[in-house]
Amino acid sequence: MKYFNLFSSVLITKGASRVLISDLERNVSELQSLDLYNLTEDLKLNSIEDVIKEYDRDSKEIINEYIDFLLENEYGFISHNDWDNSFNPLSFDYDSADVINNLFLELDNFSVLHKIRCAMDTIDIRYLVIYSIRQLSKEELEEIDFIFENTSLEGIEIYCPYHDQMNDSFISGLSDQSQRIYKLVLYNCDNITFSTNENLKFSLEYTKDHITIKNCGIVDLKYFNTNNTKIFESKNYNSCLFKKIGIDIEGNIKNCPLMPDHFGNIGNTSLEKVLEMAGFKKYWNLTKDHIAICKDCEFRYICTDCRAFTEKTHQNKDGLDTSKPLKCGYDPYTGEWSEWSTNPLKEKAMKYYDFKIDK
Amino acid sequence: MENKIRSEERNKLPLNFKYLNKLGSKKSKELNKKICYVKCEKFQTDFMTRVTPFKAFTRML
Amino acid sequence: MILILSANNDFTTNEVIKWLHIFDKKYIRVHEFELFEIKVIDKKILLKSQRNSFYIDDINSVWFRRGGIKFNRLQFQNESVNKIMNETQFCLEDYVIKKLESKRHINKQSNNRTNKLLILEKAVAVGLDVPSYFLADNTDHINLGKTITKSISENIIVKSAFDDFDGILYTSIVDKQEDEVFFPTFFQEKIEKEFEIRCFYLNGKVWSCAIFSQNDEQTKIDNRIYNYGKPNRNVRYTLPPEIHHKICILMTELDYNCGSIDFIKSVDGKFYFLEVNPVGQFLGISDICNYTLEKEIADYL
Ligand code: SF4
Ligand code: SF4
Repeated sequence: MKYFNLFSSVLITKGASRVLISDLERNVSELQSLDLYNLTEDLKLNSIEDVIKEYDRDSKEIINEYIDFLLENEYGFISHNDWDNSFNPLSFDYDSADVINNLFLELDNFSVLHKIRCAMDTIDIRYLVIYSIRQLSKEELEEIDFIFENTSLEGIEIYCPYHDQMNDSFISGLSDQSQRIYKLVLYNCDNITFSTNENLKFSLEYTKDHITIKNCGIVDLKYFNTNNTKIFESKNYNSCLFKKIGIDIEGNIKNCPLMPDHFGNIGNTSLEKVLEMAGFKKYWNLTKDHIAICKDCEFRYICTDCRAFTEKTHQNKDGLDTSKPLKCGYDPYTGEWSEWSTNPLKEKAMKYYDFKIDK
Repeated sequence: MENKIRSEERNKLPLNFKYLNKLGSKKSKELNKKICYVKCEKFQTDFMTRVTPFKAFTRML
Repeated sequence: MILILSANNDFTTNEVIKWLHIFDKKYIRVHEFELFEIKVIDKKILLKSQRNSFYIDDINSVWFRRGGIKFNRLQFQNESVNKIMNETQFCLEDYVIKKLESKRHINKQSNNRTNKLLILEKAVAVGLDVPSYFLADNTDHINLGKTITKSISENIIVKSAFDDFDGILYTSIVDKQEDEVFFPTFFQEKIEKEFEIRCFYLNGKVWSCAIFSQNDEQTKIDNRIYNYGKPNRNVRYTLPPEIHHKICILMTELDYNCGSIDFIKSVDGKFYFLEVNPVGQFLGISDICNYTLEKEIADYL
């Protein structure tokens, strides 16, 4: 008798209409049918021969094709006489040596940066994401990087408006001077005065659009990530808000700068104190498995959640908003994507958040 | 893929030198190019690796 | 206070240190090029370098990762004085190192050299299966295609061996008869493998990972030849208790309390011991198998 063993680094996530196969060693995911899922479940309980026996002649061929597909992609292997039980399942626990993974700052005044720098003496922050509402000069961009010189901050990404001084020497000079900036996004960029050369220390993106911080929360295929850390995190914690801290334009400290609840102001309290405050971490443990609709979606562990903008339809007994993210256009029951902002069902929530409804 | 080493040496070398492999490939060199190191006083190193984050922290575009 | 002997650019050390901060454990990190002076203050021994200064009495545990404590040896004019002072300084240095090694530790500076040949003998002695091996300077009695050769040195990288590449001495199959005699070379029987097993050992505990490389011609012989398109499969694995037990005996005999150990599981179901490396890289299997070994080390220190 032959037995099929799925490799432990292959995660099959069942959705309402399809399954997603995520390969945690090759960092890719692919969509497959529910039939394939049912087959893999069957193969956990029965030998290959017994599984094939259950099907009629026509289906047998399909079953064989599916098994070939699983073997060809090295999603599993065959053992004889029994399943090979010496291989242990992967643990999906998530444990990371940081206090804050990322700080999302809406920047106007640089004094906030110095406050964050001071907080880093006691708490480790890994990444800093800056959304600037105003233009930044080369000196200012360099200063941002310089403030975090020699700290345990691993990287900085900056979203700021484009201006016409941003030419090649601006960009390459910044790349030479900076250490921690790994991503620079220029918005309002209707005119390109720089060439995008590949030898920069950071990735450079630009867009014509006027980006406001309220744009955040978009759910799209391009934002899905398949890797160990991502999946371990989303299986155990909220995939956007866990170990995140936000500071809005007024200095209010929040879990994310776009959420309503705030826990003091950077001017009169410390990040460390805020982390201890009741309610600050209330969304940290809310996983996609407990969010309406997302819990039936095959993308739920590679998708990143949003609690700042939701459909505002569900609440759990602890008063947490468990509705689907507003800016997701995917329907796991039909398996189809559509434009979220024109979905009539979302109109009420959009009005609540003051989003323009275009028809 | 003949290596220079065996012809340069006057003394005999162990046989496995004949099977010397190239270290890395073009691809791994490209990957290495992206690795940046930063200094970190707290961890007492001049070589903290700047690792690209495992997910997008914000989604504004 | 924890003493970490490492290199400035060691990634593994950085990862362990992140956990030490989470655990709120204090540590001193020594880089590879630091030179220490031995001083005495109030009858207590103080070690002082450009970057660090500490009493050896304040150290509670030591992690020997890379390099080690190096001393600034003074030279003296008179030849005879120099001889005596050399010995005097050696005594002090040796005392300091042994003192540090008597504390809670992960590996020892005085025992960081591996000898692959001696280790294989010990592995046989503790009852592990070892593929038969021998040294030879010709291929006369070699079973071509069924024998591998590899380096007995720890360092297997040959700088600028090729025009734009360094070279590396991987395990290779011997497939040709040689006419000439060569430098004594290590040969070993090639085992038909089901998969390889990479283990991490720390003080009696073993974490293992099965590495499937058989599916792929490119990585069949040596799984370190990394295939970018389709990497190997790595799976959490538990060794049979008797192999686990023998590993513990071997590591105790070798006086290593931490290290990476490689095995082959052969197609006929045996576990063949290949080698031990006390200062090996382990974060690869730690990440893939989600073992968080960097945390285990920080916890142990
Ligand atoms: S909760 Fe939403 S708005 Fe806030 S950072 Fe996450 S995705 Fe952006
Ligand atoms: S937000 Fe959309 S794509 Fe993401 S899990 Fe929920 S339904 Fe699926």
